[in-house]
Amino acid sequence: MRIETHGLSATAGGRTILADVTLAIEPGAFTGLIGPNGAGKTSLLRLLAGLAEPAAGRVTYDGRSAAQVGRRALARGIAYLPQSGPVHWPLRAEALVMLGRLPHRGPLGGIAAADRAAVERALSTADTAHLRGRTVGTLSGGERMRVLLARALATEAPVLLADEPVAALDPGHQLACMALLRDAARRGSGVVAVLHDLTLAARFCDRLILLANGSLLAEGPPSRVLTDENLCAAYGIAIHRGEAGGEPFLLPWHALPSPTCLPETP
Amino acid sequence: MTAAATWESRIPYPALIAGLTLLALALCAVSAAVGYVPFDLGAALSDWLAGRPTLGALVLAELRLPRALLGLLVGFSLGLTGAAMQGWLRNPLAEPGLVGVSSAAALGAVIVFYSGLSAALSLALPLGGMAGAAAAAVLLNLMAARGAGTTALVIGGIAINSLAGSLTALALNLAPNPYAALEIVFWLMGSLADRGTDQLWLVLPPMLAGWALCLSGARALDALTLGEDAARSLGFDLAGLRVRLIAGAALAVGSAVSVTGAVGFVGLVAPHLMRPLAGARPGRLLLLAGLAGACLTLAADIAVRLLPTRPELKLGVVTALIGAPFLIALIARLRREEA
Repeated sequence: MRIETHGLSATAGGRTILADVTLAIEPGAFTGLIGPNGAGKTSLLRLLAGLAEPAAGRVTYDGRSAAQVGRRALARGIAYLPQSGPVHWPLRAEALVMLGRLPHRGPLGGIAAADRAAVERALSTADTAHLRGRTVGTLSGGERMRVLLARALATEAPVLLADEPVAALDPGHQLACMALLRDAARRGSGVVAVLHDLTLAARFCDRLILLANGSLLAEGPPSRVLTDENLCAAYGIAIHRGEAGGEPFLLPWHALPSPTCLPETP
Repeated sequence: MTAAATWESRIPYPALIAGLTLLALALCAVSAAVGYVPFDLGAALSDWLAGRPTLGALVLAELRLPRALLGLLVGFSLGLTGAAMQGWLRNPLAEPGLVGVSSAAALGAVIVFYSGLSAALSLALPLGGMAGAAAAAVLLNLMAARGAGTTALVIGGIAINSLAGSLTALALNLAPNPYAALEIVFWLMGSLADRGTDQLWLVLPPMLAGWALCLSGARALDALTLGEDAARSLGFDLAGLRVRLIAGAALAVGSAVSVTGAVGFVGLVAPHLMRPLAGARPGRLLLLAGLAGACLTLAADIAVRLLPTRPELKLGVVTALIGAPFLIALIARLRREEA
């Protein structure tokens, strides 16, 4: 599924949180959504998922509006993983992952063999098969995040929108999670993840979207987005760069005094 | 692994449902056999089935069976609605009357009492109660239609609760004589005594409709475990769910309160009791909590008649007396298991 936005704006409490964002989410690409706190990343992701109404502009799914696609079809088409998602009852991990199959089940239909198979695939892909019998309250923050990721994967939707999927993970599982999301894109899914780690974004993503103050500052391949000027303008930081095994790494080095952060060309 | 997880894997869901249904029916039979008058249940049953209008057959058909069946229906309504409210608000403190329907139903019944209509028509009391619950549900849905969120609706429910409670107190305050006030207070305590087949047939259709509305939200309640955004992204219409649950609570609990008065704690305790057996899944909890509520209510109503106190203890008094310490013990045990 190809998601497009046209002149998308959003407001909250009278304040503009997104202004005139036009972009496209392509199938088969891993897109990183980056930008400082409060830039509008989560708002954009929720609009892409059809969870919020834009103040202006529109979102289309293969050219159709959310209403035309229909609630259930949209739920089968887009898996949404909220930021540090709540889990309100002490479900076992396996039952939690099975919730991802709800869009595929009829109003009275039971759990089918296909649902069980999808849950098994999701559990093993997210490295959570050994946690299946544990109740959510007994999991560590990172284990919980991986189980929630497995829940989103279990939907096996053509689009996966993940809000900070690696925030709670240790370095090993961060790398594994980024590889997993990239593999999902290689198999044809459209994957969008909100990220804060610029090196992970540079190494694993096919495309980056850089938001600052609710506006689209830059988009394209990581090398074109992660320029010194863009990072200075968005985050107000200077970057230390390096290379390892032919891949770049970027370390936030020091904050820049605010006047130098103004973009030189509008 | 916690005890909860072990139980869940040991007892399959259909076996749980079957076991609880059998228990509820057995308690119904015991309830029909227990009473103040010496009574041969077997003889009364065969007389009744054969259509012989003996005293035993009449007592069974007109008093014992309606009382037992009403206990079943009221208990099931309270347990089911309690589980639905807890799942909807994702709050283990929620109870069936949270959105104001029980106190509004009680107020409706009290107004009928007060106006003297209940003396003229035996069904006036439950009808008044149902009208009160319906008014509360309409008010809440109007608030929802004006864009109130879940928290605002709960606060609206609390406001309705306290308004209905104070209007009930006002009615007591202005009661023409102490006897009338006493009658209202006794009725409010909740009881299944001396209810007849009329009441049974009156509440059955709205209760069934209320159950269906609550049960239709099972999948959405499961999805709400992940929060509102995730539930919506899984394709559930939360505004529709809200309307269904408020209407379901008004129909099921409103009619329960309008025939029995307030029977406390059943709707709060039953979901807690069954949650470990449901693997904490809110959708799966609904039927289990309903059946557990039926068993609890029937057991309490049997206890009321076996206790030697005269006058008979009110059902609502007994459920609250047993329910409150029980809930504290249950919470303490769950804490230990989680630790």
